[in-house]
Amino acid sequence: MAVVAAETLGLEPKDITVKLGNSDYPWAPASGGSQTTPSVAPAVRDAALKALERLKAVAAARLKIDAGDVVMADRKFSSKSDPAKSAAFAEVCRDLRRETVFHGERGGMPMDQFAFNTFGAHFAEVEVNVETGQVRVVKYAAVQDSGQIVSKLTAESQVVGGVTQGLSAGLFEERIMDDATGNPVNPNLRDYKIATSLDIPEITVLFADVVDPRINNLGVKGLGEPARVPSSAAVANAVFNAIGVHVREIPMTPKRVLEALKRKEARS
Amino acid sequence: MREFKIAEPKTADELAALLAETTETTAIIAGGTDLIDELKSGVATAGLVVDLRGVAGLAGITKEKDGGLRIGAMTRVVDLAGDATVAKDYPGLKEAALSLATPQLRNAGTVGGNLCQRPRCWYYRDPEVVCRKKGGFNCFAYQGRNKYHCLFGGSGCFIVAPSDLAPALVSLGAKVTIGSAKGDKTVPLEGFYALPEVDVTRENVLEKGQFLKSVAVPAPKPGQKGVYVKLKERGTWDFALASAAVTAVVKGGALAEISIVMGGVAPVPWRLKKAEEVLRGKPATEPLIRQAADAALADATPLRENGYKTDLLFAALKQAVLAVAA
Repeated sequence: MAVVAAETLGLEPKDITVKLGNSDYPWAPASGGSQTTPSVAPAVRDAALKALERLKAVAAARLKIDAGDVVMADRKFSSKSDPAKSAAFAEVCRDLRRETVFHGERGGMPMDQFAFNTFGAHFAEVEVNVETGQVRVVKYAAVQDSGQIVSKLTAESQVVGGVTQGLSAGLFEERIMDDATGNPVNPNLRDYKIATSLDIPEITVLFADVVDPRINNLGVKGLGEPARVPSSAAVANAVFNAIGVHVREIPMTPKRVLEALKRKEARS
Repeated sequence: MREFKIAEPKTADELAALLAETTETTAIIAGGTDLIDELKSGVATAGLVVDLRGVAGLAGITKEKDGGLRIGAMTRVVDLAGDATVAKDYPGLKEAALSLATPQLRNAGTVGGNLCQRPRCWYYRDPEVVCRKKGGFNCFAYQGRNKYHCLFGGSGCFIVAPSDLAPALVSLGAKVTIGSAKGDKTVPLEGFYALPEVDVTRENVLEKGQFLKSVAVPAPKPGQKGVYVKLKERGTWDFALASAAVTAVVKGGALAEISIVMGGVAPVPWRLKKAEEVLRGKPATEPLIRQAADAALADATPLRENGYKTDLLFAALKQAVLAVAA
């Protein structure tokens, strides 16, 4: 939110204060469902553009120039034709009363003509020990198309996190229920096993970084879920590729891998 | 957590006297990595917790006159793993120490605590469940969820011995010194552990008033080698599904002497005597190891969900025996 607002207004992200998570503020979506960047950021962009328009008019009055001649960059407004005429962002704001420039208008989307999707392709390389049933993921690569990438660092972290979750679910995590009582027998992080750092391989993340101009004013799509969804399956398919039999349940523990190998043996 | 008193004796004699005299239910705390958790969850209760950290002379590794090694019960696992003599003379023991838990737990956990730790059975660890080990009438693992439970030695209780150090030390022929107000006594570590048929509520022979003082490992025989193989579900911070500690002397390509002890397959560190007999005096080959595993597995009674451990027994045995013979 701060990055988008700052970039639109010619400011630095640190100049923007994001206010979030208070019932006094207007309605906002929860951060989830892969909708934060594609739903919130375009609204911020829209509001910032409207604010910029208003600020340009105020700056034009202050500088006594035409509104169309005002440019904004590096925290100041200046005249395109006479760069000597300029006013700092803060000065221009002092001429303003408290005003609301954006009232939560909704943009239209021609849903009958277009579908919007995020795309990705995931690749896992695994080693399976056919005597112990242990699976080790050696390398992992994820390619995502999430439209324009707003922040490469956080986008990469999002994908590494999604891959890690999927790998952990695919190999280790299981809620084990006692049939007689219906209680889970492993309600703790000792017996409900999550991946450790030793279990996570080198993960390569690539982005198509293709702006989709129809989806919103930033050409951005969500990335929260898309990296988590295919990662358990990529590991499972790599295991199948290695041993020639599908392990039909996750997590693919030594027990289940050995049982799958026994099924294969029984068939041949 | 219920309230308890804490005692901090300063000498082994003070400790022995305290344990002999107290009428409270006592729990001995060493590193505390597990006991605190048990007390908090209510799985263990104690009126008096006796802290061994201040007791002089219980920590440290010393070379004995006969060339063996004495490891104090309060020696931290990290110090055992980093000891130069252990690395040189007992590489299998070092591997076992390093395979255990995580660096944080090895920093806090002690050798004695590891050898005396309670089982990880999830029914035993559930404070709502009163199983046979906690004085109840039923074992809930027997017909319940039991993929981590035992293949051998279960009778009314199907836990597995969780320690990594115990199989390695038993395979080395280690002895433990037990302290009490009546004086010290020494027993083989193998005999220190007891099956559920002896007393289902505990895993070793320590009586009230007794405590583990030290472990003595005999001097290595010429040409002795040791290996520890631990099979687990994830890369680290995991108890063994099955582990194999093998100590052997290889002469002329054959396994002149061999001792095999497995973890994760029985309520005690499980000596594979029948497999040793198959392998003794012969060169280690895969068919022979298969034969040895089958001899050992003749005694196995898998439960509904732990049959895969029979494969793991062979896999761990193969890795360990081939490594020791190489």
